[in-house]
Amino acid sequence: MRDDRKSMIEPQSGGRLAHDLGGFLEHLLCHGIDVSISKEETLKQPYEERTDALLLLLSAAGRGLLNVHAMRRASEQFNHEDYLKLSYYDRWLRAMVALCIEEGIFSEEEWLVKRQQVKRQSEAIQRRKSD
Amino acid sequence: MTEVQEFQIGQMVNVKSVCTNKHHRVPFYLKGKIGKVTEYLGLVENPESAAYSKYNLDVYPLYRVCFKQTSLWGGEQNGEIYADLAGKWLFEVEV
Repeated sequence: MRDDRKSMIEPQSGGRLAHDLGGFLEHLLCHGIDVSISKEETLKQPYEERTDALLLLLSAAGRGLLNVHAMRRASEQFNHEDYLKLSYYDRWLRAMVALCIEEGIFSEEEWLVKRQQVKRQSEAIQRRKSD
Repeated sequence: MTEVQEFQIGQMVNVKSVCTNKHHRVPFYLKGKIGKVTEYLGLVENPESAAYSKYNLDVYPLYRVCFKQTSLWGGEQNGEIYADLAGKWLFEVEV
């Protein structure tokens, strides 16, 4: 069931990329995708500032490794469900990772290894805090 | 590079109905629709190639095109939508 739904909302389904949602509401709703907009104020998180700083560095003029158009291109390749589920800065992060891998700044394997490492470290810190 | 304005103000144009998973600046709801050119905005950086190259030098002519709401969504709502579209996405409507 779930797989069936996924295949309906992959980019290119009905000729649309993930961001191209104008007039698409009924299609998303009938595939059970949450399109509600939260009206709660969300607190700024430290990682969001770091994400912003990272993008500024990566796109700095002169030695810029990526630009706003490439960032858009990368986020458009998500499927509709991920695109709508991810927060603003999570989209940025995922797009930056995809572009860094594409540019050969790091490989996908290096990224996965590093991510595991950081995850284990932060879990260890959490454990120490709760002890 | 010589500036070539392909479409004139007031001219009716059709938006190409091309689907691609490459980065492009045409929303799905305008594809295949007919609108009227209201303004020529000149040459701008081509974001469709800039999205693939940080050394992009390509530019394209941009037009402001007016679409009737009813022609996009049906129904009877009044009003228009204006969209800035590249010449490469438009073609002349035979009158």
